[in-house]
This record gives sequence, C-alpha cells and structure tokens, in this order.
Amino acid sequence: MMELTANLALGFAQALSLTNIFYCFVGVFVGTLVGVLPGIGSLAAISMLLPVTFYLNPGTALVMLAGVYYGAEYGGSIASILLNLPGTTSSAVVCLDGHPMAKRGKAGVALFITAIGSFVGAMLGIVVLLILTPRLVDVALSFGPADYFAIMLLGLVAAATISSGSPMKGIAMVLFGLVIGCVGTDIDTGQPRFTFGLPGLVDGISIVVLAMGMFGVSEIIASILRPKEQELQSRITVREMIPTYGEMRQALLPILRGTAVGSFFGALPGTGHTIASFMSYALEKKVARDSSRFGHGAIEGIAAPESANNAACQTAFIPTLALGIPGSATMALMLGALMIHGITPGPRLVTDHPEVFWGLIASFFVGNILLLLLNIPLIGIWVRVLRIPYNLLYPAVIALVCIGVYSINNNPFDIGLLAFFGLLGYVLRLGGFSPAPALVGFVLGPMVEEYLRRALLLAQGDATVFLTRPISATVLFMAVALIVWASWSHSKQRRRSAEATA
Amino acid sequence: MCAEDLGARRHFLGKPSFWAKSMRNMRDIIGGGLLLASGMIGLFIAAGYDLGTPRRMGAGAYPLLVSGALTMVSLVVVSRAVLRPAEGALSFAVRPALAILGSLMAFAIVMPFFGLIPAAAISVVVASLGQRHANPIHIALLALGVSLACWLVFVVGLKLPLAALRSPL
Repeated sequence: MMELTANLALGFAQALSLTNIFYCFVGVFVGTLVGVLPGIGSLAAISMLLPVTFYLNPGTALVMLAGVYYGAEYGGSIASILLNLPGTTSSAVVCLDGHPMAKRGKAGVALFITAIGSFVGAMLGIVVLLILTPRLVDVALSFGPADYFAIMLLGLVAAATISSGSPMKGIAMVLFGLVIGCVGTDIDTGQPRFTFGLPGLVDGISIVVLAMGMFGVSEIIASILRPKEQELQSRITVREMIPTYGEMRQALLPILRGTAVGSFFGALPGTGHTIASFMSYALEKKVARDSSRFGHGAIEGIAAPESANNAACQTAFIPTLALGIPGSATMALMLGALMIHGITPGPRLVTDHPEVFWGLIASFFVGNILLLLLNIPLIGIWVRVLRIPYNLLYPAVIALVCIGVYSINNNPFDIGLLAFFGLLGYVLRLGGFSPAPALVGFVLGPMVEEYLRRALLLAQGDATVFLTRPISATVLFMAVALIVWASWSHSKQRRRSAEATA
Repeated sequence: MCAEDLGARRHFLGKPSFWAKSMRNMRDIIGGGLLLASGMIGLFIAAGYDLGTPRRMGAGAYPLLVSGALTMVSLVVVSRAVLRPAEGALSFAVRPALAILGSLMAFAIVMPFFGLIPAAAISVVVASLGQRHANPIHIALLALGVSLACWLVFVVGLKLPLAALRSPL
C-alpha cells in the first residue's frame, strides 16, 4: 500500500507537469474531434499523431496518445447520439438507445450521461488497473484457447440478443458477420478466401467500411424521407441538459456493471472495447426489469456501454504494458510508440521505467478529468447540430463518410464496398435485421477461427475439449442459457403484444 | 430499429388487400432471403477450399461451418416469415437509395482523378437529389461549403495524404 502511494506520487508528479498536462489536453481535444468524424476512429487518429510524438519524451508521448484514445471514444458516441452514425465502431451500440433519446429531445441528457459514464468507467477502470494488474495477468494466462473460444461464442450469442427483434434474426446477423469476416486471406495458410478475384478484397474488408455502410449509409437512406419531428425549442437551457435525479439513479448501477464488464474484457488480450460495450449492453438488457424499453431510449443502454468502453480502454493497457501483448491494433500502436523511444514494454517496464508506467496511470486520471471539463460545456453546441435541417446535414455527412473511408487505403474500391454494405444494410434493416450483431460477428470472427483452430490443434482434433475444460464448459453453458432465455422472453413479449392488440 | 415506424397500410378500401397481406411477409423474406443467399454462396465457395482435418483445420473448414450455420438459420427465418406474417408494409425508399448510392459512386470516380474538393462537392450535390424538394441554390452553397470545410479539416488540419485538387492527366 505504501509502495502504491509512493508510486502514485511519482506518477502524479510526472502527470501534473505543465508539458504533460498540455499534451494531454491536445490529445483529448484532437481525439474527441476526430472521434466525432464518422469513419475516422481512434486508430487513425493515433497513427496520424504518432509522428508528432517522436520529438517528445516517452512519458509525454504516451500521455498524449492515450488522451487521443479515450477522447476519440467519447467523440464517437457524440456522433452516435446525434446522428445515429457511429463515430467510432465501439460507439455503434450507443446508437441503439442514444439516438432515440435525442429524437425525444433528450440529446443533452444523453450526452451528459455518456460523459459521466465514460468518466466513471475510466476512473474505476484505472483503479482496477492498479489493483488487479498482477492478478488479472495470472487469470488471463490460465485461459487456454478453448476457453477463449467459449468466451467469444458467449460474446456472439450476447450480440445476437442485443437487437430488439427476434433472437433468430440476431443470430442470423451474427453469422452473417462471421461469414463476412472470412473475406480476405487466411492467416494460417495464406489462401485468399471469398475474394471473388477482386484485389480490393484480398486484405479483407475494413471494419470501418462495414460499420459505416451498415450503420451509417443505411441509416441515412432510411432517414431522408422520414417525416421529421420538429422541436420548437428556442434555446436549450442548462437545466435541460442535466439529467433528473431519477435518471441519474437509473444510470448508476448500469455504470457500475458496465465498468465491471469493460474492465474484464479490456484486460483480456484480443477482446477490445467494442466487444466490451456490446456485451455490457446485452447484459443491461437482460438485467432490466422491462427490457422492451431498450432500443427506444433507455438510459441504461447508453450509460453502461459507455462505462464499459472507457473502462476497457484503460484496462487494455494491462496486458500491453505488463505482458507486452497488445490487446488490439490501437494498443499495438502504443507499443510501437514506446519502442520508438527505446522502451520495451513487458514485465520489466514497471521496474526499469517506473516513471513512464506510473506517469501514464496518473495521466489517465488527469486526462479523463480534462475530457469531462472540456466536453460538458460543449454539449450545448453539439445539441445545436441536431437543429440543422436534415436536408443540409446528410449530404455533408455522406461527404465526410466518403472521405473517412477513402482515407483508409486511398482505394475507390472501398467506396464501392461502402455502397454495397449501405444498400445491404438498408434492405436488412427494412426486414427488421439489426446491423449491430453483424458488426460484432465481423470483429470476433477471425479470433473465433483462430482459437478454434488452436484449441483443436492442442486437443489433437478432439472436439469434446470444449466440454471437458471447466472454464470452457461453464461459459458454453452460459451461452446456451442465454439463447434459451432470449427466445423465451422474446416469445413472451410477442404473446403480450398480440394480446394487447387483439 | 427504424423499420417499425414506416407506417403499415394494411387495409385498402376497408379490406385487407392481397398486396398488403403478402407484403407483410415480404420484408422478412427479402432480408432473410439475402442472408440465405449469402450463406449458400459461402457454402458453395468454401467447399472448394481445402478443408483439412479436425486436428489441422484447413482454410475452408471454418468458412464452411459458419456459412452452413448461416444457411440453416436464415432458412428458419425465411420459413417462419412465409408461414407467419410479420407486421408492417414494405416501403423501400427508392429515390434516397439511388441518390446516396449515386453520390458514393460519384465520389469514388471523381476522387482519384480530380481530388478531394471536387469529389466532396459532387457527392453533396448528388446526395441532395434524394430529397423531395431540392433547392438548387441551397445545394450549390452546401456543396461549396462542405467541400471547403472538408479540405480544411482533412488536408490542412489532419494532414491526411489526400489530394485536394488534381488534374486528371
């Protein structure tokens, strides 16, 4: 404990230096801006700012990049709430309840709750990071590939139950995401799969294209001719922005649960904050007394995923810094930034460069406070974006999405893919198939395959390994239970609404 | 998500019209049908890859598995949709869809040849055609404003490697 305080003192001394605060602010600010832009997420933002960090000392560089990271996550949810267009892929789940809230005139409240949820999630995530780092590492190491596979499967099933439609449709969409995830080159054998001879598909489909297409473009197509509810508010007062006491109380437990879910998934290498936010949403829906509210503006539906998202962002640093294993592409970039400065992450990082490690941890506190201070006043401005007539807004958004997608590979083919998924997403939406589970399936797909392969390899081809390993068996059982539960509650809901209309 | 608030016109002249009844299934059928088609295409293609053994899965094993699962589940969805009518009517927004897709295509064509500013402007113009009452002056101003703003943000601000203006030669 004494040691912890001493370390934190060292860290704060680092983090509270003027240089670090300044660069933290720059990172958070740029991150939020970039996060709002659809199609450009934290990954792109960090890679763009990486060269800037060459001239800074390693601690400062990491502080700034980390600020961009969680700033972008927050910016992403701004776009999700206001435009139903995820600014970053992990904020896609916030569209589900955030945008309905905005349509009901509660955009300010939604933005406020996401800010608070993000803040609390990040703070508690940092605490988890501090306390549990050694223990989490042990737990993560005891997970074998079969166990990871089972967890992925649970994630997929949870994703299927997110949408308010029938679970069958959700499962179908998850599977669709899995199939789309196969497009590209197989890592193990180098064989191109599902590429139809198109060179643009050989590297697989970018998640940005899929997310922007199935969420963004399809949403815009659906919205253009939709009659708009006119809000006759001349000015949004501060009071309207702040949630009522009842709403805050509603959001409290979801925030805590979201933090727990996020901390877990963030620390687990391979699963990222996207999965964390989706799983947290699914959990909230299961735990809620009246799950039919979800999809129509339930506060839990934005508070929990945001907390999970940010908690996962923080705890993602655990395997990255402590084991040297980046949990995601963004973490890999962070690792790269460190190595450029001659610091090798891993178990030696904490002992060899304590000021970097603890300075970073302390900067998380500072950065999140800055994020909160920066964004609360801006909520009023963001809400005004909603008042722009949609007919002026959507062409601008289309242009932004195009540029964002094009900037990935400078390849017009990606825009073609965007159009394809946009149309597909629109038709599927009309049929009541929600795109969110497909996104999860797409993200998890390659990992599912990898773990399946490894598990079977280690088990010499024996498929019962999934049932004989205790962790794997428990998790699989939970997945099955989840499907059964979801189908049962869905058919109960159908019966209830059929009786109501009869 | 938002499909439910596309109003349902179940009755035409007081009686459930034949169109309305069969169109009630249509959304599910078309959506499920697309997924089913994807699954079957996947099955067909994946079967051609090396499947390997359970111990050493080949390139085709996993795609085969997931395509097969997709086929089965979408079959269930489609058959349910045929047997049990769903709610709501089919209203496909043709004009917006064409406008948006056209806008994306325009961008994809113009960008490599002419650069960012013309591409953004054209995509704004084509996308705006999806509205019911399109005011040409508003569209022109919007196109100008958006393309300049995009240039400022992406090329000047973020320093992305995109050509702002380029000659096609």
